[in-house]
Amino acid sequence: MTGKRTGFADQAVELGRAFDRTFAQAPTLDAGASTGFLRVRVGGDAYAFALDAIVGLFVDKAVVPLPRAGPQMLGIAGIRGAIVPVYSLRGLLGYEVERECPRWLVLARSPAPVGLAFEQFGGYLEARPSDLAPAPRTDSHILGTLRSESGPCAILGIPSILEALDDGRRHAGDALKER
Amino acid sequence: MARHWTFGQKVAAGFAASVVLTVVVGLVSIYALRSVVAGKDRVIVVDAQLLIDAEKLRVLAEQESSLLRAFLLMRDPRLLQELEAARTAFDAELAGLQRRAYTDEGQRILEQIVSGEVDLRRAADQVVSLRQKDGAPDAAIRAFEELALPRRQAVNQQIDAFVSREQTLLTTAQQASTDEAFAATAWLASIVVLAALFAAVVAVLLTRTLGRQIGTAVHHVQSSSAELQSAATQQATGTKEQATAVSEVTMTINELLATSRQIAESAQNVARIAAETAATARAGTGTVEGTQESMAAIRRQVDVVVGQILDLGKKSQEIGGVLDIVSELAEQTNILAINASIEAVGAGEAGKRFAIVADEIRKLADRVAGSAKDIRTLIEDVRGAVGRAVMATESSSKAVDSGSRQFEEVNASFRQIAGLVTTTTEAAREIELSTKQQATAVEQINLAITNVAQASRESEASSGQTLQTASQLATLSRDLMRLVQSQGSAAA
Repeated sequence: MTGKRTGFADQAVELGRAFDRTFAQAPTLDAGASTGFLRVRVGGDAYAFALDAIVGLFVDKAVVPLPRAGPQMLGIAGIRGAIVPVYSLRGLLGYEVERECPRWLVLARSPAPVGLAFEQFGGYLEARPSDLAPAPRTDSHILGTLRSESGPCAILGIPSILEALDDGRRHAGDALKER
Repeated sequence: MARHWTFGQKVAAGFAASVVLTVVVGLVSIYALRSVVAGKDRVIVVDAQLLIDAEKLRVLAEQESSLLRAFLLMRDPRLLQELEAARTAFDAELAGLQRRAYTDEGQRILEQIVSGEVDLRRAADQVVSLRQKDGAPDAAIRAFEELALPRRQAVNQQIDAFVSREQTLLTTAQQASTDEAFAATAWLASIVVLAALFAAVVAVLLTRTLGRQIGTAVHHVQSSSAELQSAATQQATGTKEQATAVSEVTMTINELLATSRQIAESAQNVARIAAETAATARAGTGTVEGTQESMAAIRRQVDVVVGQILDLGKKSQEIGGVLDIVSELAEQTNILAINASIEAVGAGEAGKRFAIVADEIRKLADRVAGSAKDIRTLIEDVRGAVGRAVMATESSSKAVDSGSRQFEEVNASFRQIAGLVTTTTEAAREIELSTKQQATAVEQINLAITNVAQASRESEASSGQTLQTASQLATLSRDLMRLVQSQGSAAA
C-alpha cells in the first residue's frame, strides 16, 4: 500500500513535470513525420478518423431526435452555435442502428457540418507513413488500415461517407418529390 | 379302604384285634373267675360255715349234755355255771344259724331244734333240780334218762338232720360251682380258640398283605437303591466337578479380590484427580469469565472498527466521486486537446506549434485519465477491501458473538463439569467405599467358598458313603425280599 502510494505520488510528480516540460521545451516542428488519428470502435470493429477529416470531437452532446427522419439519422445537436445533423456511424457503415444515441460523436469536415455518432472512443493515435497501408478496394468507406499497439484498425474516409449520405438524402428528396 | 391302609395301620389293626380278643378273653376269664370265686365263696362262706356252725352246734349240744351228766354225777355247782355258759353259746350259735340259713327247710329244722332245745332244757332243769334236792344221783340219773336223754337225742337228730341238710347243700353248691367253673373254662377255651383262629387268620392276611406290600416296597427300594447308586455316582462325579469349579471360583475370587483392591486404589486416584479437576474447572470458570469480559471488550472494539471501516468506505466513495470529477475533467481535457490538435491541423502551418502544445496537453490528459483509472481501480480495490473488511468484521463480530455464546456455554459447561466432577468425586468415593465393602464381601465369599470346598469334599465323601449305603441297601433289599417272599416268587 505504501509502495502504491509512493508510485502514485511519483506519477503525479512526473505528470506535473511533464506538463511543465511541455511549456519549457522548444517545440520541434516535425509535422511531416506523423499523422494524427482518432481510434473509435463501431459494431465491435476498430476504425480510425484522420484528424484533418474532422472538425472536432464531442461527448455527451444532447441529440434531439427528429420525426420522419431516416433510420441512420439520430437527430440534431447544437455544436459550436450551429444546428448539426447527427448520423449513426453504425448505420452508415452497414451495421444495425443502435436504439439509443451513442455518447461520442465527431463533426466531419465538410461544407455543411455533419455529426457522426459512435459507441466507443479509443484515443488518439499518431501514425507514421510506415504504419499506414492502402485499402485493397476503392468503392468502400475504408481508405486504408492503420497498425497500432492496440491492433490494426480501418481508416474511415469521411468524404466517401458524406457522399453516400448526400446520395441517400438526394434519393430521399426525389422520393418525396415523386410523392 | 383297607387297601389304602399303611403297613403300620395294618399291623396296628392286627394288634388291635389281638388286643381286643385278649381283652375279651381276659374279661371272660375275669367273669368266669369271679363266677367261680363267687360260687366257691358262697360254698365256703355260707354252706361250709353253716355246716361248721351246725357241727359246732352239735358239739355244744354234746357239751351241754356232758356237763349235765357231770353235774348229775358230781353235783358241782361250777358245772352248772359251765352248763349255763354252754347253753348261752348254743343259743348264740343257733341264732347265728337262723340268721344265715337261706332255705325254708333249714329254717324249719332250726325251729324244730329251738323247740326241742326248749323242751330239753326244761327237762334238764327238772333233772338238775332233782339232783340238787336229792343227794343221790341215781334218781337224777334215771330222771335224766327218762326225761332229758330222749329229748337230747331228738335235738341231736334235728341237728344231724340240719347237718345232713347243710352237707347236701354244700355238695350241691360245690357241684354247681364246679359246673360253673367248667362252663367258664369251656367258654374261655372257646374264646381262646376263636381268638387264636382269628389271630391266625389276621396273621395270615397280614403276612400275605404285608408280604406283598413289603415285596413291592422292596422292589421299589431295590430300584430306588439302584437309582440312589446312580445318583450317588453322579453326585460323586458332580461333587468332584464342583470341587474343581470351587477351586476355579476360589482362584477367580482371589483375582476378583485383587481387582477390587486395584479398583479401590483406582477409585482413590479418581477421587483425587476429580478433586484436582474440580479445582481446575473452577479455575477454568474464572478464566472463561475473564475471557468473556475480554470478548465483550473485543466486541466493542470490533464495533468501533466496523464504524471506522464504514467511515473509510464512505470516504473512499467520496474519493470516487472526486475521482469521477477528475476523470471527467481529464476526459474533457483530452477532448479539448484533441479538438485543439484538430484545430491545429486545420490551421495548417500556423497551427503546428499549437498542435504540439495540444498534443502535450492531450498526452497529459491521457496520463491523468490513466492515473485516474488506476486510482479508480485502487478505489474500487479499497471499496472491495472495505466491503470485505466490513464483512470480515461483521463475521468477526458474529464470531465474537458466537465466541461469547460459546464461552457462556463453555462457562456453563465448566460449571456443569465442576458439578459433574463433584458428583464424580462423590461417586468415586462411593465406589471406593463400595469396592472396599466388596473386597470385604469377596473375602467373606472366599471364606464361604472355602467352606463350600470343604463341604464339597465332605459331600464327595458323603457321596462315597451314600454309594456304599446304596449298595448295602440293595443287598439288604434283596435279603429282605428273600425273607418276605419264597424263593420262586423272589426269583420271579
